[in-house]
Amino acid sequence: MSKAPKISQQANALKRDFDRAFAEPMRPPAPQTLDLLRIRLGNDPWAVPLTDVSGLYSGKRVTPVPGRTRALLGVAGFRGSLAAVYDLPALIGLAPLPAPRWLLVAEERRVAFAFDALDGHLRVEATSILPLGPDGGTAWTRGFIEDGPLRRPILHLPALLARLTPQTPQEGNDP
Amino acid sequence: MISRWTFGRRLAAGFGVACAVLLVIAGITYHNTTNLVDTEDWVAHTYEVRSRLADLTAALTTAESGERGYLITGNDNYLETYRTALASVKTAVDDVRRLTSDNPRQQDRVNQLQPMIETRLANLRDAIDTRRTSGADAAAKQIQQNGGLSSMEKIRALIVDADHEEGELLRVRAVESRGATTFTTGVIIWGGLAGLAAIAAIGSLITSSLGRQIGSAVSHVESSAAELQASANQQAQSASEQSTAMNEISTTINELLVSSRQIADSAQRVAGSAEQTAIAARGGQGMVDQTSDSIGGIRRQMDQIVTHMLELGKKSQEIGAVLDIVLELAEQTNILAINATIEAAGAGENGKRFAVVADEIRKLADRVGGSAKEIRTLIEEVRGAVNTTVMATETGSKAVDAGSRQFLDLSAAFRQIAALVASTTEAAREIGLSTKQQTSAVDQVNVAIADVTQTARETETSASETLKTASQLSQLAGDLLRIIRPGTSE
Repeated sequence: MSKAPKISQQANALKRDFDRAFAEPMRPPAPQTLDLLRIRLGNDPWAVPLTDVSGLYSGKRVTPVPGRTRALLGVAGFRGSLAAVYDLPALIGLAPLPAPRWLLVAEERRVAFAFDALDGHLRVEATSILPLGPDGGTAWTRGFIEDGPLRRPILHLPALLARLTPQTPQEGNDP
Repeated sequence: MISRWTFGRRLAAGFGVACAVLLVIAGITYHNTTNLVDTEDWVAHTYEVRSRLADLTAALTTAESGERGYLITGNDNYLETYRTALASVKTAVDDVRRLTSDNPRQQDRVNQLQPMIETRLANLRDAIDTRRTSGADAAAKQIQQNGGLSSMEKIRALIVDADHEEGELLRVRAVESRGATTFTTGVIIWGGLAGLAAIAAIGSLITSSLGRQIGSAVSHVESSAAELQASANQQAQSASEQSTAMNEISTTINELLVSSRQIADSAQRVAGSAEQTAIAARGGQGMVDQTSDSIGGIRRQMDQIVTHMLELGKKSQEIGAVLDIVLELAEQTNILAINATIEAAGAGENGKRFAVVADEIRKLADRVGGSAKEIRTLIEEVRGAVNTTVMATETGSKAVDAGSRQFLDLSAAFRQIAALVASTTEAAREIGLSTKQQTSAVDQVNVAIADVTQTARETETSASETLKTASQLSQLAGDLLRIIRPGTSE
């Protein structure tokens, strides 16, 4: 029960910070920063630039459709348009998802990727992105960041989209 | 049959036989002696008869001499002799008649002799009278006429015949006397020898028989004395061992007596302790009953705690559900903030201010979500604690039930302990009483053992005396054996 005061203090701090945020004058975001989504693929931490994402959803119903690859989970509707949903871990060679909950829609808005868990939002300096080693890099990664004790590779969704592109004509029946 | 006779009977029989032999000898000797005495009497009688016959002859001669002296001298002194002789003649005739009364022939001679003597005396008296009256010549003449010489010769012849008769009788009686004497002597000698031989034989027989029998008896006595000695030795040894054993028993009995008294004291203390234990057990039973009631109250309080805890768990679950909604809202708010950020970025410069708001909202949603997760964790901990508490309470309730049952068992055990302690008290009292009785009995046994010990000592002393007596008896038997068997060595 010793945590009760801590929780109330946190609530008070939240309330103070929230009120202060609206009380302080508007400050433009600092230049040369990068917003990232911290996600988990299996147990591995990853990061996805918000600039590559057009939307984040959870609990969307995915309608299975037959496809050539097992990574294609089906299709789902996002703001009035359908998008193909792919198993993101399966696409990068990890174990497929048993029950995908999180979905992120690519900038192109015709493809969505399902992943295991969302760790949250992260804003980092552009200079804090570090290059991968000569053996650790792949076609769908572009460096990594230090997130506390974790080392998060930054997933390059356009590269994955480029990989999926040749298949697009066969899937061109989608609107 | 003789071998079965007793010592006295044998001696009596032996002496009886010897006495019988001596009696026979004495009888025969007495008879012979009596005959000899009779014979001697008769010899003496014969001698007396012959003496009287001689006296008669002498008296007649004296009377004739006195008559002749008077006739010759005329002296009256001769008449005195004559008169004395007359008396002697008469006496002698009477004596001869009396002495020969058993002999008819001599009586006949006396009968023949008496008138002849009277006649002769009458002739003498006539001659004397004649002398006195007529003188000597007339007297001498008268004598010649009377034929005094022939009558005197006849008288003498008869007296000689009688004397011869007595002489013959004397000879016969002497022969008889010698025969009787010889027979008596033979009887005395040979009877004495025979008696001596019989007595010697009887004595030898008795001595041999008695020696054999007494020797056997003495041997038996000696053997019995040896056995008695051995038995006395054994008895003395046994008595000594018995005395020693009795001393040990007495010592043990004394120790037993001390132990019995200690047991009696211990039993008394046990009885006291048992009474105190009974009181404590009754107190313990009361405490157990109170504790059992308290456990019942604890059981009810535990049930209430379980109910409250279950209620608390239910409330926590409801809080968790509300918190899930809060988390969902925070997550949705975060998603909305992120999407707003994305949209603001897509809106260019116009969306920057909106991006700031979206960023603040996202931060708030992140922090709300973190806090909600912490609260959720706390709620989970509370629920886990509630579950643990419920389980612990149920376990405690079961433990209380078990404890209650155990207290019931404990109460029953206390009641049983109280009953057993009562039994123990009674048993301790009985043990104390029995031990006191046992102590008294042991005292009596101790006294009896002291008496037995004294008796054993007396028996030992008596056995020593018996041993001494047996030794003396053995020695006496040896002496007696040496007496009846001189060749016997020790």
